[in-house]
Amino acid sequence: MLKAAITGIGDTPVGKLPGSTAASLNTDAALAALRDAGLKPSDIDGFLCAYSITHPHLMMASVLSEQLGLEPTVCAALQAGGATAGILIMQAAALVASGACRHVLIATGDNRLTGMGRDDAVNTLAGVGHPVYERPFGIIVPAAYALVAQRYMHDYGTTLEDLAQVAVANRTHASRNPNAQMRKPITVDDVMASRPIATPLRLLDCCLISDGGAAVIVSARDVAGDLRQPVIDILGAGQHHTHEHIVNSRSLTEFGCKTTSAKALGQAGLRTSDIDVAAIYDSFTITLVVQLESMGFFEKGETGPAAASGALDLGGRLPCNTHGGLLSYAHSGASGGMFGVVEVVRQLRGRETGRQVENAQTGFVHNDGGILSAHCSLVLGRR
Amino acid sequence: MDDSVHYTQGEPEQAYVKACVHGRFAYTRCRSCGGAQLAARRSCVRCGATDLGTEFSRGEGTIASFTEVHRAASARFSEQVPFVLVLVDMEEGYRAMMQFRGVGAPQIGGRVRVGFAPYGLGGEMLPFAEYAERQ
Repeated sequence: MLKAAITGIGDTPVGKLPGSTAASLNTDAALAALRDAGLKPSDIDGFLCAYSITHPHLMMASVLSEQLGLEPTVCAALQAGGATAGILIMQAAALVASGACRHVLIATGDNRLTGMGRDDAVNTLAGVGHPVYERPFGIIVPAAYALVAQRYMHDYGTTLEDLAQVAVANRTHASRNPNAQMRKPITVDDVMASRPIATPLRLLDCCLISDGGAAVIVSARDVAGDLRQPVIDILGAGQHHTHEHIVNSRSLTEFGCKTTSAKALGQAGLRTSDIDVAAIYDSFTITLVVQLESMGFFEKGETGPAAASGALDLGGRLPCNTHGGLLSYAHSGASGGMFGVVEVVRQLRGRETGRQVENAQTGFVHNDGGILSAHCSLVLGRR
Repeated sequence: MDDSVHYTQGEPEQAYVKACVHGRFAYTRCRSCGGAQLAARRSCVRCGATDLGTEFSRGEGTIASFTEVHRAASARFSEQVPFVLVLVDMEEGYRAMMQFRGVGAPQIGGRVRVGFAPYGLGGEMLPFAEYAERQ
């Protein structure tokens, strides 16, 4: 167990939020987390944040810290794409465990939808391709994941229907979440019939583009119990970075999530079968399938049929992405991963209506950045 | 974003970029461990040695994976979509991305050869993959 706990969570509405800015989403979420924890700005001695594509700033953390009226002794921004949220929490945990800080506030947020428009968002994200060895050939992020999907399906027998089952499972969760961006239930046929983006991935295999923000407070283990919320301990964490560009990935089917989950679960003294609820990065359906099977929650090729029989649903073997995930809840930059953290904390607090995992004691969060390049796993537990 | 060839002047990629003009696929081989990699780094990813040499591929390899891309990353690709993107395991021991052209559907494990074609108005050349023989 790390000597750190999550003591506050906050988030904004998600979806299309006209008038929102990266700063407003970051600070709204941060203020909500402070209220949730019952802490004042003067209690915060560490502030960490991510990045914004719509409003980039040289000193993002300082700008937001100033707006929030903080005067922290540690203040920094970090960028690791979709893995940023988990990595920020690992960093905050290290700060409070070492005694450098007592309460670290972490904010994320971006107005990806109204701030730039879908085409700009797609084009900006295409910029993560290698400038010489990928972008000149027309890569987009879905195509990079599609290259993984095609090979994975070839090697392990995963089918187009299997991928669709994962999208359906996430939408089923989102249909129970009044805050989710996409709530209308979908069928496997809907996914199969949606237009191709980069084969084998279709529109409904791809995550949303959203406005939204999310924040958490990580506190030293010994002071966490003094606050108003049930303490959610950080029981284990792991991080692994193997490449940035898919052309340079050693494998198209095995990624860093395998080591991060083993490390996080090992620290927690738990096995995959001990996990009650999970939020696992689902930028695309294939992302979730590869990671679930690589981390040992399911056997190779098993996820699709398992999802079809309800394994990812409430009451299933691994209730996963109970908020709806990036596919159906929302995805707005570094907040995408943080939404998963916030959801798992909510589940462990045990107060959700309509989508509560019964008696959830242990939670697992996994973030993936780049093209399955940067991985971070967290194991959380209700004290 | 389309000016990546110019963007990389002075970078380790320039051996590859310059060779493309002459229709040759340059890559890097480590003189210490013998490992091959894309010409993109100043050191060997296997052993860390900095004694790297430029070599030229025979231009043959197999398809490691492929995707048909239906969405253009920028205006330059709007007239190309849908096009097929492939990852090719070159027989010299490194992997490269390129577009797949010509007859026949791509298949994982399919043997391809690399050709070069001009793109843009500046006379730049890019590699593409096509089937080595009629399937």
